Amino acid sequence: MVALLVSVVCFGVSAQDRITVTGTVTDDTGEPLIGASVKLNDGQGAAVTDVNGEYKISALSNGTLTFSYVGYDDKEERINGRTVINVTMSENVNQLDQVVVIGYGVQKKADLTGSVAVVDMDQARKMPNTDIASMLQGQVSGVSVATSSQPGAIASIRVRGTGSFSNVGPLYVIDGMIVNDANNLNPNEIENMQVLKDASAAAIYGARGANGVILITTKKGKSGKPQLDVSANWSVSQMPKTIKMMDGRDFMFYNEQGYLNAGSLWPAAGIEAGTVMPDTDWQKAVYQNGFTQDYNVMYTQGSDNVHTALGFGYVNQTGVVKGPEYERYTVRFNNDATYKAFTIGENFTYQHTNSDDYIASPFWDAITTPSVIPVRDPNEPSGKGGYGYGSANFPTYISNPIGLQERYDNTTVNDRIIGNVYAELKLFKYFTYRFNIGLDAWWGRIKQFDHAYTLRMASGEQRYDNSLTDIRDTRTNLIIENTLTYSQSIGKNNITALVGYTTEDVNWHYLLAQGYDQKVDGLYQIDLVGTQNNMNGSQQERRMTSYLARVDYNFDSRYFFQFNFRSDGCSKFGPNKRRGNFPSMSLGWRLSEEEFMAGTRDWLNHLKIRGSWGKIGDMQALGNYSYLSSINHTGPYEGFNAIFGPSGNETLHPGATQTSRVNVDLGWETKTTTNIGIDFEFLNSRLFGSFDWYNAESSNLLYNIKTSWATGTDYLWTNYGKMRNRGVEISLGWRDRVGDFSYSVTANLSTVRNKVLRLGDSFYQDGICRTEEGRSIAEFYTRRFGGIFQSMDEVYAHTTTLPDGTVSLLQPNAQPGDVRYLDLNQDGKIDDDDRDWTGSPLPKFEAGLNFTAEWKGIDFNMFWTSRYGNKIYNSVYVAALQFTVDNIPADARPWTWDNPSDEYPRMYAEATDNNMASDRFIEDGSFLRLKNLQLGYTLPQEISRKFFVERLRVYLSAQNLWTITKYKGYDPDIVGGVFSQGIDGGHFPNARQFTAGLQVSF
Amino acid sequence: MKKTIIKILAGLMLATSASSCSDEWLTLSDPNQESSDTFWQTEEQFQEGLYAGYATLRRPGVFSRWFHMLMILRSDEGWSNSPNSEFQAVANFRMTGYAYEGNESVNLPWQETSQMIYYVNQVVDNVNDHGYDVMDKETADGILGQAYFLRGLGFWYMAGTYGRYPRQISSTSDGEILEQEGLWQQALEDFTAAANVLPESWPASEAGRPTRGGAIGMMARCNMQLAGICKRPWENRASEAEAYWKAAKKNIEDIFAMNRYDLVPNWLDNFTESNENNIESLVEINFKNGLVDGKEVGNQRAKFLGLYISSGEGAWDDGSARAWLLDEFDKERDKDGNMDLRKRYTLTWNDPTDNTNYYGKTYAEWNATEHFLKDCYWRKYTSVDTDNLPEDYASGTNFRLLRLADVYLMYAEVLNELGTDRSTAVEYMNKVRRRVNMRELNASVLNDYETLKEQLRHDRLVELCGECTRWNDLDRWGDIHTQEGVNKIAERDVDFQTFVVGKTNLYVIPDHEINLFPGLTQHAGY
Repeated sequence: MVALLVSVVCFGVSAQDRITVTGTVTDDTGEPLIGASVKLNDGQGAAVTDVNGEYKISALSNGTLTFSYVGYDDKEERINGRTVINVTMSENVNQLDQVVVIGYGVQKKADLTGSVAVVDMDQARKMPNTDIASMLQGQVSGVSVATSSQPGAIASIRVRGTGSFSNVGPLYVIDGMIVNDANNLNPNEIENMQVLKDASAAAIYGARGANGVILITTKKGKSGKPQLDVSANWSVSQMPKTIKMMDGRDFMFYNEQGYLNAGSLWPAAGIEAGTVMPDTDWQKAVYQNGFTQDYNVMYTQGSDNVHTALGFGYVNQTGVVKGPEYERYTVRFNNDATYKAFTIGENFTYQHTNSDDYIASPFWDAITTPSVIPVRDPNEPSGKGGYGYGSANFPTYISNPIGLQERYDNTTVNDRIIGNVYAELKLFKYFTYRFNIGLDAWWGRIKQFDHAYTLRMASGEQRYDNSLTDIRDTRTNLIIENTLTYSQSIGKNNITALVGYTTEDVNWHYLLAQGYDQKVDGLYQIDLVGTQNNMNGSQQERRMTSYLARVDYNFDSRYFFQFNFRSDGCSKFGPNKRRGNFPSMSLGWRLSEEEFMAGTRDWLNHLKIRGSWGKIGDMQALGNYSYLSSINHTGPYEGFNAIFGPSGNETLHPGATQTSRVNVDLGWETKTTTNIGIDFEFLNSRLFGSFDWYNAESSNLLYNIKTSWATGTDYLWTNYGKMRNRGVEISLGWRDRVGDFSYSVTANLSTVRNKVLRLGDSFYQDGICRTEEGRSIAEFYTRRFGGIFQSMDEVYAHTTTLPDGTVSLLQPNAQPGDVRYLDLNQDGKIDDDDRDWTGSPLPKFEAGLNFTAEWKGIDFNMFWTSRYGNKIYNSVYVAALQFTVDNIPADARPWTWDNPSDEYPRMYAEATDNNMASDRFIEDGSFLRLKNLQLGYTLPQEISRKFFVERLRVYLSAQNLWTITKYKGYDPDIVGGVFSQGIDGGHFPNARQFTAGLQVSF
Repeated sequence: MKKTIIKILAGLMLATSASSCSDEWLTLSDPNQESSDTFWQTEEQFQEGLYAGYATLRRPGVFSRWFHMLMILRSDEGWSNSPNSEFQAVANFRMTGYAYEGNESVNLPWQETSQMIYYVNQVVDNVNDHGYDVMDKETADGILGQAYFLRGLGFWYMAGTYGRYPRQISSTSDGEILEQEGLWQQALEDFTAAANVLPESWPASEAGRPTRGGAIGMMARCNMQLAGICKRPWENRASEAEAYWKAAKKNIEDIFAMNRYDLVPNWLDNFTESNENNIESLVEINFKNGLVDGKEVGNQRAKFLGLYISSGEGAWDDGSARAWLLDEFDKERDKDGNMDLRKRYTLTWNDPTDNTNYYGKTYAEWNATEHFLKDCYWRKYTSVDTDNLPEDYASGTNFRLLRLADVYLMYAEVLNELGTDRSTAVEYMNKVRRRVNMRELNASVLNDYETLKEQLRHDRLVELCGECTRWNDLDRWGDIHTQEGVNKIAERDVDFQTFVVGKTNLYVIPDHEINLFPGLTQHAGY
């Protein structure tokens, strides 16, 4: 494009006759293209095609016309005196010319030197997802996404692994506006999405981009005829599988064994013979079919100077388990208008959601609740709720999972506005000044009503008949940005430079009121509480000011150089360490454009080598006032009240003190990334792909280090941590067209090798996960299972001979049927010092495979995603295999004399060592999943046009249809934490879902 | 047009720059919390600092829950078959298998007591630094005295449990590591400093603040424990022991000289909510029923030590009473030939004559459905004798940490140890017995060390059963320092079969602290 302009300048213009040229612009299939732009290369005129694809323009008879249309290759025609020029444009298969948003600017894909993953939105949209993060799963390399089918939940995203000691995800930037999160954003509004993965790409976001940046551009109006897109889909979802549990008869048998083994009376022994016992299939009782309806309308319209998009969306979703519901209304309104050198515009979205969350984990309770407990028990003694639960006969302390959901009414109503207004002014030919002011404002209301039903045995005290909690939570995020861009081409030198100054101010307000005992049945208001109980309120603020600069230079589109600099100041840090400076640079060489490569052009379309280095920062881990030493007036759960005075007439005296020490010299955590990559396209761009190697070292990691309790404190914020992530990312694709049949296969694979280089502590233990220097984060650290004792001889044989010659019996209290643990440190006893590294929750690689095909309006898509080499600690199974008083998987037969096992211990109804965390509960978490299978049909336009429909597509799809895994739980796709990962605590699984959808464009 | 736009833009640019150009704009103060820089300036703030320390006494690791478990379950009074294995491990000393990092019974007493000490050290440091400049002497003394008392309680608790803990007497630096004896001495030092400045009493509305009498009473306790250490079989420190006994004698006589204390006529008034901070009470931890402004102000003890009822009205019975206690109470009938009334209000057992209303039903009525399996359950401090409402985590009953009856019996013990005046010793034992209608002891019979000691062991047990004194008694008397003594205890409490002499007399130190506190090591054997 630039080259073209240059050539026009060089040739100059000579005076000639002006003639009127007319014609029709059509696509490959002969369909007229509406709104295609026709421009005179001398810049003296322009036109747009009408509804019939026709144009009319006055031009010099020896001039040149350039035809352009989004998604199609530009086409040039020398007029040579012709008055009718019909043009057929072909679809742009060469994505190299695609313009990519890179943060405070755009760049051609071919010119990128940083690691930027461009999401193929056509593919991503084939998944009927209601959140934008789930759309990314398996689509691009280096981006790890863990999804669930929880209504309204947003998937968890990690760009290039765990890069911080706090659970911080990537930064989301929507239409240039840095937002707090992408929750509740309507995926249908999105035009394109990019993920900035390395330091050089993300550096322009400096202190915020260390964990990757996801850039989202929403739909804008297009020049030409107005367009109305309507889409709808309906889905039904179900649990991906059922875990067969013991029925009442088997349960009773083993329950009795438990008491026999413990030497105590079986509490159920008193049940009279002939009594009909409940035999509840808890999974059947708890799970249901979930339904999703998703409707969207998007209207776009535009001329050369004004573009408008207006959209509405509605989603209604219920889950596979009773309880959670989600409802979302969205509005999108984007506008821009240009008058000569001056452009103004706005992007605006409003979201309203209404949701009901679920309580605890029904995916855990449904498995472990004994089948002899009825869902509802008319004789329930408390008379509150009437649910079945443990009794003197079956003393289990499990809460009734149905009752749990019905006990609490959780209504969360969120309103959010994300909007920005901008003005752009082109100055002195080469400069553009842009002023942008943006707001991300969120209002949350949570109303939780607790009916105080009795859900479990001996649930004991209840200080209220019911309880109401009403919460108001707001956040406003205001950003003001000033940027000045300079762009000029001098000969073969192309320069773009940017300087900017931005400020950000975020404010939070929180208010909670709680009271007991509503005065009027059925009305839930704080005004009506009988007893006021609790009030909390707080506000917080964070401010940032940043200076940013970027220089992009390329010579002849062959040699590329980019330099970024950003200086961030943040109120989270003390005056000494407030400002962090983050430079980065990258280089690229497009070999395929070199003269010496001319001979390869018939098979090599594009080959580029690029390398980058840079530093970026983060501060999300830190609280807003963590460096300030302050006095705590709230205290722990027991408060800071002293109580003095005589019986019944005590007075409370509120206290205050400093409860923690602070570190005033806390500073930015910094991630230094080196990235080397190759992009290539061969064989007429049919074979394409890229390869990246990176090394990312995060240092000065903000880490709330544990302090000795004897100091009176628990933690101290430090910058001790250091961690490295290293990996490769490969993506490879093939696309072709054979007659009417077109298809493509794309695959990607990413690896991350994580290593903690410095922690400050000797280790950090979080449950069964331990993080230690020199190892990857959050590895499982447990005892080792050594089988089951089959006889007393084996118990007596399980010894360690100590260095002094004494033989130590390791498990003197064990009986046949108990678990044997290994004395790994050979000290003659089994204790916490016998723990060992028993696996990592981090995968060796993750991959995605996408296959699409199209033939005469029929389209097919198959999408696979995979994770390999990670381990999962199956906590649900820990509970189900306790072999005490809860239900047991049908295939796990406890050890008995008649039916011994070397895998499962005996039943034991009292406290036992058999359930200690060990590698017995660690499973292979690898999986390969057919994430999506879709078949669509688009009605030929000649038919649909008769109904004034431009395009009509119907489709059927199935998600999570088939999963190949050894994992025994419901779903191996687990959302991870940081210091504790890969633990299945009964998370919301990915449901199997069937969808029917309709897309209509008018 | 264009010019106007440029002007507007330039104006906006300027406006945003002017407001934010300097990094000063990035300096924020925390609107939710008072800055430490402005604290410790007024009497009110010093009081607030103290209150935070008082509040910590009500936390589970301290006097709301675990203190009772460690003192009762470890002793021969209690045992546990709780489904929560932490309770069992406390009772039967088999800590290894259960000493995992998240063990509350191991962690909370250490952690929360340390917090209390840190909070009061801030008070001490700031009063000593500038407190006397901003407050009058009497006020500053009173505040300092209370801070010393609370810190003394902390060291006293640590001494009787972990027996190894750093001398944390500064809010900004750590002290050297003290062994059990050093901890008793540090507690003694703090109680002494407190006794020197605390008033003898507070207005009724301030009841619950420590007094001079309370501090001296705790000094006596510390002196007696130190004497016990000097008397341990392998120690050869008889003269040191005698000095400690004498010091304890002096402490107790100082209390008597105050002429402030007396036994309450109704023995039960020592364990219910109706007559708190009464004339018998020297040291009391105040609790109040329920939640106030969402904050827990009650005592959890009764939810853990009491009659178990599966529908939840009763206690969890995570700690139970040993059966031999029933026999011990039965050794003596009262003057009228009736059961010792203290038995009735200390324990619950299958007694056909017991018509007590336990949470709405009698024992027999509950037993029809609950099939009680244990010989006896704890009753002292439960709501059965207060309001009979279902037990919750927020009993309002104050915990009497030291009461005059205990001081009387301590006095008897001290006199017996000194061997100077056994008839006075017997008289003080009789004062305690008279109240509950027990027969008078005859001083002429109890005229040698062993006989009197044996009677005293019985009298202490039945008077103070379940009041968390027994563990320190056994330690002081040396029972747990010889295998012979332990074997004897094991006859009445099988938990002592797994007691290891020289090891389990001290409680296991949290791994967290071994890892993080420089120089701190675990007790040998753990």
